[in-house]
Amino acid sequence: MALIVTDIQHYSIEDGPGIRDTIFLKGCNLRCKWCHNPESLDTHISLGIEKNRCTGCGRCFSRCPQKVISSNAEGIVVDREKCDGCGICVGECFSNVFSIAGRRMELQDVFGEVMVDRLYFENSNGGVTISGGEPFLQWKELADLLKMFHDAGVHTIVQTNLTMPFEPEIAASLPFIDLFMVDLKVFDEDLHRKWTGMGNGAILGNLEELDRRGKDFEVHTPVVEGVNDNEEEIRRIVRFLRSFAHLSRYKLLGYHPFGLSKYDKFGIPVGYTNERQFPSRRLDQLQVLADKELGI
Amino acid sequence: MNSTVYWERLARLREKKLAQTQEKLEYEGYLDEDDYGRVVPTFSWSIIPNDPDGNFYGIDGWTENFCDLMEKHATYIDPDDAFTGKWMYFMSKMRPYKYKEQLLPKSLKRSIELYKLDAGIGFDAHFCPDYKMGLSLGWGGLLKKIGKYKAIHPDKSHFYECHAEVIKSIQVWIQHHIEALAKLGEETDDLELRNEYRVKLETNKAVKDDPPTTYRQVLQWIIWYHLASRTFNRDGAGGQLDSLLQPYYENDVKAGRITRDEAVYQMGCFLINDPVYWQIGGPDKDGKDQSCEMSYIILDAAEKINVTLNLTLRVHDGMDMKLFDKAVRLLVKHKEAWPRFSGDKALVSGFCALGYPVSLARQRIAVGCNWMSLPGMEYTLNDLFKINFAKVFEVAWQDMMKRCGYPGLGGDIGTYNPVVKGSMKRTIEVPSVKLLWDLFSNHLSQAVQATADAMRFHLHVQKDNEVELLLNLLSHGPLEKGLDISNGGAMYYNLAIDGAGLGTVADCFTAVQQRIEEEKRIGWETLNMELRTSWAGDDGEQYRLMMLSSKHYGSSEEGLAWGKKVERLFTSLVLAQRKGNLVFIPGLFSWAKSHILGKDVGATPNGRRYGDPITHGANPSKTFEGEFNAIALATTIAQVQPGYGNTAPLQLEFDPFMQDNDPVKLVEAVILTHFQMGGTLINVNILNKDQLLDANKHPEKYPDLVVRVTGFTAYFCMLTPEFRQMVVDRVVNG
Repeated sequence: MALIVTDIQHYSIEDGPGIRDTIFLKGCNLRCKWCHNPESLDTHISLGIEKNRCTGCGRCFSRCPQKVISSNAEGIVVDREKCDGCGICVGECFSNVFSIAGRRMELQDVFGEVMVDRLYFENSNGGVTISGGEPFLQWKELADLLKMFHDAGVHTIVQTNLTMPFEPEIAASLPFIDLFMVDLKVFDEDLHRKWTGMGNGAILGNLEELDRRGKDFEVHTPVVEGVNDNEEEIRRIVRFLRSFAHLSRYKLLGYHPFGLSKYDKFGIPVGYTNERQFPSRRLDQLQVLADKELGI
Repeated sequence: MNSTVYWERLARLREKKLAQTQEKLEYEGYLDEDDYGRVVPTFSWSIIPNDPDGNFYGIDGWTENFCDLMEKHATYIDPDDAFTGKWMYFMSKMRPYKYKEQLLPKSLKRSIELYKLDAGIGFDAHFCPDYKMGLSLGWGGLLKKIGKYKAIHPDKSHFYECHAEVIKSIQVWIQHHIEALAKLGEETDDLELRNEYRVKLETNKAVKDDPPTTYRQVLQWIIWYHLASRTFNRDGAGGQLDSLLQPYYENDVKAGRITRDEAVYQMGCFLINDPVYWQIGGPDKDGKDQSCEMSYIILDAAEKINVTLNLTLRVHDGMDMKLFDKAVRLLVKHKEAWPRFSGDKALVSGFCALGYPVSLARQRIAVGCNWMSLPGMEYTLNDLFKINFAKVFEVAWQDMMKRCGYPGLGGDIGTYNPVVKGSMKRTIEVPSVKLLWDLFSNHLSQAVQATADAMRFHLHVQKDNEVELLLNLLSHGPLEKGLDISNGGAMYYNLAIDGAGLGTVADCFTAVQQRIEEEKRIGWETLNMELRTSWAGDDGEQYRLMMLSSKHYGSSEEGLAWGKKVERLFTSLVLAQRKGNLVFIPGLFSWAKSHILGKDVGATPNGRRYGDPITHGANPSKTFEGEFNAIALATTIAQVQPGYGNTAPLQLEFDPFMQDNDPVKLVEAVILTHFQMGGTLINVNILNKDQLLDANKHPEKYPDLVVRVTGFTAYFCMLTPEFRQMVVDRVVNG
């Protein structure tokens, strides 16, 4: 049994408590315009190209089996439509122009790679975080992988948009997840659809179900200028959340533009072009407001 | 006295130390070493040669020079300082030669030159005195001990007389301070200051002959000893400080002689006097945790002064977790690279593997950059003899090419010599990774043999070159036997041989295996041509990038396998040198010489250019791109530990600050895990990249920025631009 993995990040200290390894699964059913991991949107293997590294040796032209690499006055050109993601160019280029996002990994291999760091998890109260993309798109394999970590005594977190049906997709993993980290980006259904390509009815329903089933969860809202950076929006989300018994935290995350360069790298059209990081002071103000609404 | 006065005094002492550092920079230039606590001399002194070559040698030369310097030495008294004395002259560095090189056997000289061995023949100290002995006897007691054994060994009377002269000259130095304090007391109208001078005077009077009895006297006694020992030959090894001082502190508290704040203040003055390597915490010889109130007082004082400090906390299973937490919290809070941490589990089991009892292994402690030593019992030559693995690899490569009929690397490195490919007839052998490994093994064996021979040579000549007149006093054996510690006086001879450039060589083997034998992307002959010219051929840069982007030690199983293979070979070769009472212990450490050692090595198959630095200690290369993080580094280095009681330190530079995690807990987890996996010593820099980059451009703006260069801390601004860049490269490229 295998998963499509974008990357495994060791020593991840931003994705939950303690030292963690974060497994990024490939493929997402939302199309958030500000997504900072655009390489994880598709389920197929994506070729990244950093033209500025190219030394013009031309080796990739001749070695590409599909003959989809060429060059023009602006540098290297890849016909992405015809590229099958074989990755041969990655090994042929010694200047690291090419990179591949996405690989098929057997569950046992994913488990083995992560468990090398087990002692660090134990000594820091850390563990493994599974992120995306949207992890529940690969729900069967995900459940099996989570069970392996759970049985090994490793703390597990899943970062999810919670759009998938609860039964059977989410429920299959439920016994093996210690903490959910759920993104709720916009409360208004139409606005949610406008910015992410999908309504949020399933998310709200699944949050209620999680709470009913007694699973601990955090909710995160990425605060994006011109999308949801107003008090009313945050207030509406909080008012929805505050009755939940198993909400352990509500956290606002400021938009950052660090993912913008990846759009060009992976040949994906940019949906939100703001190059300004969301002001931390404004974020703090909104977090104070949210905490106040939650009675913290 | 109001405690605020103490803290104000310490703050002023800290400012003075910064001013003294700037003064050293101004008058003496950069210093790529410890801070040492030394100050610019306030009087003139030069060595007295006793040899036509202008140097001084032997017990007479050292006694004459040291006694002359002590008798002429300026006094140093600071009204803010609880103690008196500073050292000013680096006597051993003032010698024009380390030893008489003409005595070196020619064959040994050839080997040293061939492998560019970092052979510290004639170097001194680098082992640890037993301060307990000094405190129990005092200067007067040591003189009596000398007298006693002189009577037993009348044939060695000169040996004893020289040691006695040395002690008497130190007493003269102390007496000069007593007289100066008396004069200052008479001259001042400030009653409080007069009282301070009186207390200092009484403290010095008390320790001039007799053993110290109070906490303050003990600290002053240690200061006198290490100032003298520093002056004599740099020394710098401390010992287990907390348990050493705790009984004196407890007695003073019981007698109402001292408050805790006063103890912190005095400790602050003590630590600022000299960044000696002291260990705190850890188990006693019976395995019981020996941390105590004094451990906390030491850390509290360190925080008050926050200067260059070389405190090591020994991490073990039964340790006081509050002390550990406090130590890590201070490291993270101040970002001044102190304290550092040693791992009891691997150090003890490793030393026991040599056949020593566990009770002895627990007493072997961190007392220098990478030094482990049994205080007063052991002669170690720590950190003085290093084998540059990269150079050995280069010799092996040349040997292989010569055997296979290709031109060697030597002689014309750096100038392109377009030898026609295939023009040289292949003679006997065909190059291969296996052949290269066999030759590397053979040459490493010869390099280890030459290093051990160089150490034996050192032991043979050192008594006539430089007698350890200070460290002999606090060692068990030299006075009893009438023999210098380098000449049979010590209880144990556990001699340290360190390997350097493990990552460079592991990467070289990994790269040729991958690119030549597995992928067949380049041939041996072509690669040899590129190495000869440091990648100056038409396609040189492409080949270089190809080799550079191969798999690596630190980020691939193949690289780690080569790293382990080189380490295992080195370890077995070093252990095999054991003979009689001479035990050789392997470690992996390059001190701060990674760029110096690199200058001796031409281009290497891992894409490294001629003269570029080799890898630091056991750390992987940071010149490649790829996954690299704190735990990958800690895991890798834990797996290449030689494992016989000496260290392969983890040099860790990282930024653990993230919004949702307590950085202290993250650092603690990395430390604990590394030691559980077999790690031995961790040197950590918690650094802000932007600040460091700015400090590199404008060092004058950061006069108090302290970094841990390797085992030692230093003011960043005192380092040469080359050393500063080395630290920056480690941090930024990591």
